Amino acid sequence: MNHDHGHDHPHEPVTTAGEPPAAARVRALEELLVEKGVLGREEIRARIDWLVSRTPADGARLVARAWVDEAFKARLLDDARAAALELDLDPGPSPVVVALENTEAVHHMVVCTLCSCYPKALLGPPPDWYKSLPYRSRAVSDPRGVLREFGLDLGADIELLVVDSTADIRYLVVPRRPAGTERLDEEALARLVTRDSMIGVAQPAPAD
Amino acid sequence: MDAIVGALGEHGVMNVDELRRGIESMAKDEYETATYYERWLHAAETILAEKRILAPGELDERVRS
Amino acid sequence: MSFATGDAVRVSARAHAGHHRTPGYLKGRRGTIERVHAGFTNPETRAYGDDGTPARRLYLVSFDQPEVWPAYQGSPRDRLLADVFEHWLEADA
Repeated sequence: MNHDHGHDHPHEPVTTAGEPPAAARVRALEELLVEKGVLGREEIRARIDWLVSRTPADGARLVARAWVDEAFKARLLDDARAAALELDLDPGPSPVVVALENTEAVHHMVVCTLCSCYPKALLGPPPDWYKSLPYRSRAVSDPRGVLREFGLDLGADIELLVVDSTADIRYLVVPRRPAGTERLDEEALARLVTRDSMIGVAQPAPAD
Repeated sequence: MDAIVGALGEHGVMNVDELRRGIESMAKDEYETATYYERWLHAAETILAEKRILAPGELDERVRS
Repeated sequence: MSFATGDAVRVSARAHAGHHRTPGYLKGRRGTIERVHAGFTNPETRAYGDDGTPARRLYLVSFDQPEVWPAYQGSPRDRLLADVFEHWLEADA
């Protein structure tokens, strides 16, 4: 961020050109908080680095392991936070993470109507649609309509459970293992597990 | 903004429920036109001013300079 | 009042000034305790800088969708689950 001001002509910084006005305000806030000794510049940098490093790959590893190892799956469903730590994954700051298993009879879908809580540590940053008012209101009142918009039409015989994460617990969906994947190894299975399937608005990618 | 809020939480300066209260206190039209992180910014400013960590107008002045 | 998995409960229909985490659409609705979570600090007082003790028990409560939304379009067996604090729940005889 800091660049050398050895030259003596004014310039508009390339790194901040074309930003929304709020970004300048956020930077000013950061500067003030660092100057006042409330926060350290390095810790903010470290946090940003952590956030941008989060991807759905970690969640996918949990799901793939559960698909191949029944005992692990039982542990995952019992305490997802502990199961993540078992695989050396970072479960994030939430004290409780719960994994919800989709079966041939039950499909889960996750929303946070009050704000937009999301298991960032295991899935990366939430998509814009997840944080939007339409999703947050319709996911609870018209979940099947929302799923159809995502291209997923659940049969009437499937029980749809929408989970509203109203408190500090983070929920992660364990989607069903696609058919025809018996010969795939764990790594290949993990590649089929999409972020949207772990939110519950889609099924995992099919085997090729 | 995410990093600032997280760091404030870690230092015990502002917890997540205070952040949510700050967001809930926004006027309806402001809430609806703000982006997700603009709401977090608004909430942080509200709570930090409440706790007298930010003086009134201090952030505006810094943005202008 | 403390609940166990399977207990029939009703979400309190009271108003509440200030920050709280019980969504309006669930107030007054009848449900069943699906899961008992550990105790959590109270977000209502934490929102005002308090440490949120004493901890309150948190429950994952299951509601039948047609009970929550009279005009619900979907299977009548569809359900909605939400985390509700103990002090927002009453036993439903």
